[in-house]
Amino acid sequence: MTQSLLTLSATETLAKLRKKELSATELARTTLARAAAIAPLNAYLHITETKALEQAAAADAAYAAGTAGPLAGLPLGVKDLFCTAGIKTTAASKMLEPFVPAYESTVTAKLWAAGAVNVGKLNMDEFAMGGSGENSAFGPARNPWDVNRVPGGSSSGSAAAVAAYACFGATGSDTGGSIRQPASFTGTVGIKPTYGRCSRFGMVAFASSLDQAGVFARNTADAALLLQTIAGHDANDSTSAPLAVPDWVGELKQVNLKGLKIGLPREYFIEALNPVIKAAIHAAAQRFEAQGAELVEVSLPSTPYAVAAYYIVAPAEAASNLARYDGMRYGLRVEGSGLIETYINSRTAGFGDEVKRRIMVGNYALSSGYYDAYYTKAMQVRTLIANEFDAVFKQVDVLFCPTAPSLPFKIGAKAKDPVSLYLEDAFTIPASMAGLPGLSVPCGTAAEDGVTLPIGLQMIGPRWSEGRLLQLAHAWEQLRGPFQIPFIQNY
Amino acid sequence: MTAPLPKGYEYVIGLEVHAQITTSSKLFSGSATTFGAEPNTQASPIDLGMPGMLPVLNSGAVDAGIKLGLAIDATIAERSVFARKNYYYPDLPKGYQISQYDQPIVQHGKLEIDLNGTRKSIAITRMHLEEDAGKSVHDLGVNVSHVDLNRAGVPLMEIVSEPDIRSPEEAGAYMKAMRTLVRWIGVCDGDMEKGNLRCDANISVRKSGEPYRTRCEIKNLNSIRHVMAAIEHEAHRQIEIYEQGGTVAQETRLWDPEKNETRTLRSKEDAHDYRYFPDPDLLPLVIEPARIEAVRATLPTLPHVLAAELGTLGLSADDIALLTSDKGYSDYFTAMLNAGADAKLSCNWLVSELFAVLNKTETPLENSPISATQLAGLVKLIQAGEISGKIGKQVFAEMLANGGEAQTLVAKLGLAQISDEGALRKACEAALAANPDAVAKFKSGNERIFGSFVGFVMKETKGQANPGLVDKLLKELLK
Amino acid sequence: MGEMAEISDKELQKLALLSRLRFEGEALATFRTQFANILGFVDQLKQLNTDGIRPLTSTANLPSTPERPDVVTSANQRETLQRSAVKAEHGFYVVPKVVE
Repeated sequence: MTQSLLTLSATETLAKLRKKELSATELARTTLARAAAIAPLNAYLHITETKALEQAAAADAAYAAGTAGPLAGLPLGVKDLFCTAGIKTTAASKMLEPFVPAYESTVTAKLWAAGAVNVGKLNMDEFAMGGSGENSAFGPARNPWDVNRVPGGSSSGSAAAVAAYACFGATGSDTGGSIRQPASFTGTVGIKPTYGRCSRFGMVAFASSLDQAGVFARNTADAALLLQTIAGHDANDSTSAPLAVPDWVGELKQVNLKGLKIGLPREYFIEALNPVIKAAIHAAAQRFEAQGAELVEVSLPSTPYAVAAYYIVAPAEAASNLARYDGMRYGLRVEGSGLIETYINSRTAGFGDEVKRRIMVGNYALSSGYYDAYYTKAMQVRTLIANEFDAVFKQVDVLFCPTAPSLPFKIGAKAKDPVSLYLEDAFTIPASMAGLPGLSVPCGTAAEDGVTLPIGLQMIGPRWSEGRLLQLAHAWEQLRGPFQIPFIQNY
Repeated sequence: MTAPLPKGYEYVIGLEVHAQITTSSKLFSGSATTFGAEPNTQASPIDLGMPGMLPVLNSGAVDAGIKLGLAIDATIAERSVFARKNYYYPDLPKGYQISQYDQPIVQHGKLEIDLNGTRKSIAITRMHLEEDAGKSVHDLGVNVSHVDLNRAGVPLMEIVSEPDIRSPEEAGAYMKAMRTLVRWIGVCDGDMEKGNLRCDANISVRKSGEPYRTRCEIKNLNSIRHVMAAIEHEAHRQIEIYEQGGTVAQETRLWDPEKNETRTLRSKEDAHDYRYFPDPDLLPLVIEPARIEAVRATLPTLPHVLAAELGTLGLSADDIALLTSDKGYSDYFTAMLNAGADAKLSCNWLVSELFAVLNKTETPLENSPISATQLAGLVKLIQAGEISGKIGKQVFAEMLANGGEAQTLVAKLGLAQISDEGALRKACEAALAANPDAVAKFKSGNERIFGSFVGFVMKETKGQANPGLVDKLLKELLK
Repeated sequence: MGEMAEISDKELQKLALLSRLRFEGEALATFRTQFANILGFVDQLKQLNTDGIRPLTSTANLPSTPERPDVVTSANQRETLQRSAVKAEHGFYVVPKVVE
């Protein structure tokens, strides 16, 4: 019973709730128990049991009264980057360990308004800086496919919890690939919408010009449902787009593959790409070709520079965004003799190594004498990247490429060399730099060292083309056939 | 008047004025800006720099910026950019101040100053919008400071002049003119005591014709007197260094008004590197020409324009300077003119009578018991010859004490002019009859004595006789 | 990958102070190597000619930064907000002495 309930899709679960074949409270209890049971994965930083049961009771009442919202009773997880009123929000940092916001992020507020149930706050790389989840101050989350491997990052807990059936979907944030890459590593669907589609209000900032909220789910229809709930204009975020949110769920099947032009960007099929992944992406593309789509090899020549440019832009913004964590008003304070020492003690104790590295790199890039050589240069490269995408999207409707160059790697494998880890983001960063929507959908598995691991197909579209990406991912799911993440009782 | 600098040195002064914009809410948040509130009761999560909080620009502050730009005849940037100025300070909650850096909202303006009747135009390099920091209180505890963030995020204009100012007096005149202007156009209350208008002075000295030498910046001067005194002392300090063969270090200094000296602001342990970059939480501010025109339509006649207009009405330079020093004064005066009162008479009654009384009672003009139309009513009676100036003062006193319109008060107090020819003829006859010696002198050719007959009649009628008529009747009777 | 970029200890300590961070002992040695690697990596951008290219600071393509009306929308939340304060008294945030 438990397993058959937890492995339902969000869409199926909501249908059962609506038909009153299932009570939200029962569902919440089952999910909470599962969330507790997967503790070895370290996906949840804190399980919000009281809140979840309150919300579930409210959902049951709403179903009885006929006032249930579109997500009423659906148990979801929240990346611990989204501020939740009255609930600890740590961004997986010691710096914010004691912090309880008095306010709710716009994204989570929309989820609760739609009736969703908050199972808990999910692990992540500290302040969303990382691509493996290993940078969490509270220990790494583990990959449900193989607990010795990383689930990807920075939304490590979100991906792990969804893949471990410990919630029916989760929020994530993606700055350089933090939704797509962990989705790829865990066999889930992850979508990062166009920059400006979802409000950043109440989402702990990493790099403001790149951060974008998105969702994880176990299939595309669920992802569409969650994304259309959290998307939309917010007057509290000056970079939020004043656009209406389409009915992505309703439009999911309205796609014609005949004549669809799929671009395969040359620069994404490089030597560093695991050949198994390369083969899987090509195979997927050929399935679309068989349906009448046209495959076009395209070029995005600045792609090889995107990672370097990103590792200037993101740290520069982060260095400034994280200056507020100074131990003066809230968060961690480690007293020293005098003001400056207290600042230094607090920040040195409060931040992990990767966060410190990025703050240092960011301040270096912004400091006088280096600003033009680094920051301005990186922003110019960003223009090149964006222009190349614009040009390519005049030729093709969508780009298909791998989400990540490698399969999920072992915990600790890349921990010593930050740059090797940065290169894991090589295929997700360019779309982030251009503000474009990107989606990762499972497109097969591969065996490595005797374990089966998932492979993600990334689809990148022009601005505001989330609807098309979701349609194509959904179409792919039909072509691909069922993709079941193994349900493991005890990790 | 400060003495000129010794040894042929001259002052080179540029001023950075910080003016708090009189908006109801903060520059990037919906918190109130009310002065004097309990600590941290006007500090929202945005002002506190809490995680995930984002700024949204206050349109009122932008309009105020445009207004000031127009008032100083400057260029309003079609596109300006908010940048982060990064530094650590406990009253700076985000670890950066949102300001404008290389693309400010206003550039290339000017402000006219008045130096004892001589006018000089001081070029204004730029004005940008920025948020204020909070306030640290240092005397509430041992080894701790107490931070109040009510002021954090309050909108400021920073108005930067060119180094065109050449004396402490000019600096004082500039501050006065700036204070008048910002109050005049309603973008700042100009209250220097509350710190709502304050300035930093950049000072260097040089010998005439030389290029600029190293300057020092003196921070947070909060009265015009301090501005002038600090500049004078700083210039002498620099000259002394040069005369001893030394060099002046570029640094930030503080003015100590008690010791009458400037001193080095304890240099921060690290050199300042503000790492300015465009704030990614905000987008460039684009101002359409239509918006500028809409703001222009709300702009009152500016003081220097009004001064020129008043000059054509025959008012003295001092009076014009006074009337254009405060928009309340000029509005009052203009209302009198609009009610039909004569300019010079109005000016005299406003300046010599009303201001004198208000000054004595420390009453601001806006609380004057006599309105502009009431005072105009009084002036009009005088200019029409219906009452004398002397009677006018009685009416004025009554108006001040109990209110009322001049016309009504004149009737009520029985101060109306006697223009009844029969009654006046009798009074004139009585005057001549009472002064037979004078009549004899007049008739023997001493025409200057005529005035004494008029005086007698006026005295007998308590000044209410129509002087023209009295004159005419006496002349007839003496024929 | 670019060649190793050099950063002196003095420069590194200056940057650490600017960042309000401290690196000591082994952590300093590790950090220095990693920092040099990162700089070496990002230095590859120098190979790319970007003359005359406009820097792209944001991909949010709105005509202008949005503005809100000048209205007070935020009430006093001191009590709630100071629940997460490190140290507060008499309504103030208490911090180490600020020396001017």
